Amino acid sequence: MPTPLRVLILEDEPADAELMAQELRRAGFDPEWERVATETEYLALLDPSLDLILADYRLPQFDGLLALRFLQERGLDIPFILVSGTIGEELAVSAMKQGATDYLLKDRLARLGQAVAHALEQRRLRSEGKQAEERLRLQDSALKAAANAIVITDRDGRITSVNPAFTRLTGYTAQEAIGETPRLLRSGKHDQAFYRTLWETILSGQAWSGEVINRRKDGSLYTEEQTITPVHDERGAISHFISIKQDITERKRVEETLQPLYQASLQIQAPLGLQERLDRLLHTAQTVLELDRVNVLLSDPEERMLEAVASLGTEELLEVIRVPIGPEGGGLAQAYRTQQMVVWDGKGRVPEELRLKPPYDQIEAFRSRVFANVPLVAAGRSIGVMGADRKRSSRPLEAGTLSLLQLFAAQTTVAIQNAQLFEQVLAGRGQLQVLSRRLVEVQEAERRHLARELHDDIGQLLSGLKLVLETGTTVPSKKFAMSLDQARKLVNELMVRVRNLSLDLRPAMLDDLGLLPALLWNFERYTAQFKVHVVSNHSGLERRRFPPHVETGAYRIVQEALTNVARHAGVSSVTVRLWTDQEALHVQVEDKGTGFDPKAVLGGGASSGLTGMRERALLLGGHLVIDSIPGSGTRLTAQLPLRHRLERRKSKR
Amino acid sequence: MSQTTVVLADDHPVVRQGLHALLETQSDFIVVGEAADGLEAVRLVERLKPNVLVLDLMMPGLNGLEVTRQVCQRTPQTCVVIVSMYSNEAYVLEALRNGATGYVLKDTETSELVQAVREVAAGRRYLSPPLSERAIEAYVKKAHAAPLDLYETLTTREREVLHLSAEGCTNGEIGTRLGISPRTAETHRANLLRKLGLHSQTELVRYALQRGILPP
Repeated sequence: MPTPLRVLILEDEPADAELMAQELRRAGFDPEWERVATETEYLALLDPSLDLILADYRLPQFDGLLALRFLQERGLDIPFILVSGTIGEELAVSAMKQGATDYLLKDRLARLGQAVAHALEQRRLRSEGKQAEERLRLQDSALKAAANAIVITDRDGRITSVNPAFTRLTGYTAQEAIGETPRLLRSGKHDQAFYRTLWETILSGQAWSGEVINRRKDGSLYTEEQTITPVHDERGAISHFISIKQDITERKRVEETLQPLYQASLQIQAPLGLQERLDRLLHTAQTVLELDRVNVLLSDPEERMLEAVASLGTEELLEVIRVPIGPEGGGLAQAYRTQQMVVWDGKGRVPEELRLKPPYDQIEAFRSRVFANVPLVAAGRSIGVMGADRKRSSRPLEAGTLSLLQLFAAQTTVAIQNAQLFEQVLAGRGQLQVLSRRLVEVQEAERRHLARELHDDIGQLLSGLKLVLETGTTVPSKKFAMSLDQARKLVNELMVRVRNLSLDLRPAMLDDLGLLPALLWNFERYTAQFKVHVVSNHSGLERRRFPPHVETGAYRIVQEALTNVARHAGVSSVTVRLWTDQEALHVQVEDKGTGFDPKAVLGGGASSGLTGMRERALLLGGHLVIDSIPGSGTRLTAQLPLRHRLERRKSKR
Repeated sequence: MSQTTVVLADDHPVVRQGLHALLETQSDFIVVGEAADGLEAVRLVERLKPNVLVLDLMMPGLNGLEVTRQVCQRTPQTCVVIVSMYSNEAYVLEALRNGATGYVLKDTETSELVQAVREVAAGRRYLSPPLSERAIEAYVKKAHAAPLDLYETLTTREREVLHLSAEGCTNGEIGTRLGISPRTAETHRANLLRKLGLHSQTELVRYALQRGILPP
């Protein structure tokens, strides 16, 4: 079947043009041709769909070489063959130099078919080359733009090219990588069998994909998802391997972290001690976030020091790991005070305000260039700081790591709070046991006292009275009146004793008249009994009644405190202050006496009444503050809420 | 001569009998009713409207103070004489405040009760010695007296925070000075404001000036 051919013939002789077309048909082409003879006609028909231009060298109004130049100016790649009757060798060479595809003489037209076929073949090759070049360029830029790292190796695994994403992922530049094998990245985390399977798969011509843990140039590990595809040459033999790598470290880390975090939150419910729980949390954080050291420091009750309660990655004793909450405490103290995370990326010298000051800078647990201090915040209050650092690697802590660290810190806070609550409950239970034991003791002591009073005082008086009344009936009548008078005196004495006994047990006044009258009466008796003057200041209590348990609690606390003052303080005067606000009734007993060390007294377990007072305050939902310094007196302040805590919370809404 | 009608209220029958016998020795007294608890006393007085109610302070049901209050409200023509073990001024004051006009101690001479009934029936007040109007006034003064200096109620830390805050330090600065967190400083400041009944920094500064914490 003849090859279709669009041909433009530049020729002033129609017969010559016809001859050329004929020759083309003879050579197996199916020419669809047009003849032009002027520049205007030529330019009008010059378009890219032409397959061939045949041009006479010399025309009456045009010129073959000029026509060639027009063609080139338009950037068209159309075979251009000069056909002339008169062209000399010299001109022909010059025309070829100028870009003509070929030339031939009119009297040798038989060669036209062969020349055209050759020109077309050349053009086809040229255009294919251009396309291949374009494709290569495209592939190259795709390679460069790819987000995934791409490595191309030869059959033996020698790297022939890498893209910029590879450099970003591994830290190795193209120059460093090319010529090496991917063993460059080996982490040692996989055994030989792993690599053997990989090679067997790809050498058999199949693609391999899987997760590989590799090592960066800086030594850090990362996880990639890798797909290796063999490339076959035209004979079907493997010539190259293309490996596409995607960094899934972050994804893996999130997956690996969520699981422990989930377990950590389960652990919080498990009946573990705080220490064990913290150690587990820290261990998980250390492993997952690739940290060298993790510390948890909590504030002491006075908020002066941050003290380690758990620490991983250091040999130091926990007791040594403590810094002041102040400028000496550097970034740790700053995180605690500002409740903001403090991060240092290890680039350059640590700023002054983040640096620990001597001697705290000697603490091994904090000596590192890259660190993050995360405040532990519970209900808006700082309770401590979690410190994490990389000592061996200077790689900064990534954003992902930092946010996970904050999650860990939150978990730690919850664990600590739960543990503290748990300890409070345990301690509370212990105190309750002590209290109930004391209650039984107090009750027994009270009964003993009552029994003695009833037997010794009242019993004796009653015996005396009986005696007087019995003898009264037998004595002469003139002495009878005297006996009766004696009996009446005994009865009065009995009444006084019984009244005092009943008041000691519980002053009816407290129920009948309220706290203030009962206390004022109590002060009088107290002063009479112990010779200690009571100065009483009060505001907001006059003619005011409080819930019975609050009145009783306040009364007993004051009574107990005054007894202590009389026994231990060695003073002749004591001040009692009573005041109220919307929330609570406040009771304060202050003396300028000998004082004591509250910790020693409370911790000593000796029953000084202090524990009892504190228990009373706690049972009422309030608290007792003991300020005492040996040598300069004691001040006890009890705060007793007037409403239940829940009611108060409700009324605030 | 008209007789003085009396109702007795005491939870002990023996005591009631004794009082009854004692009062009936007087020809111008007539005991018209007896009650064994507070509620019965109030009802009885309301029904009988006696001249005098002789009332034990310690009563089951309603106590004597409450019976006094109700009787004086509902039956103003009946005068109340309290009989009590307690010589305490607070009780006397409360009884008088509630409307009683006589207060007799149990451990004094029995003739005092007779005198008390006679005095109150005549519209006068009667307190058995050692009680006296003066002692009661003294008590009233004491209950009013010596108002509290609220500054005394502040803790040492709160005083420190008050002084620094008055000098114009922020919570952060106070925290740094005292080595506590700004949050804790803020809590101390809120507590001391509440204790002193202050509501703003301006009031705090004014208070500090008045107390001489800040030089004027």
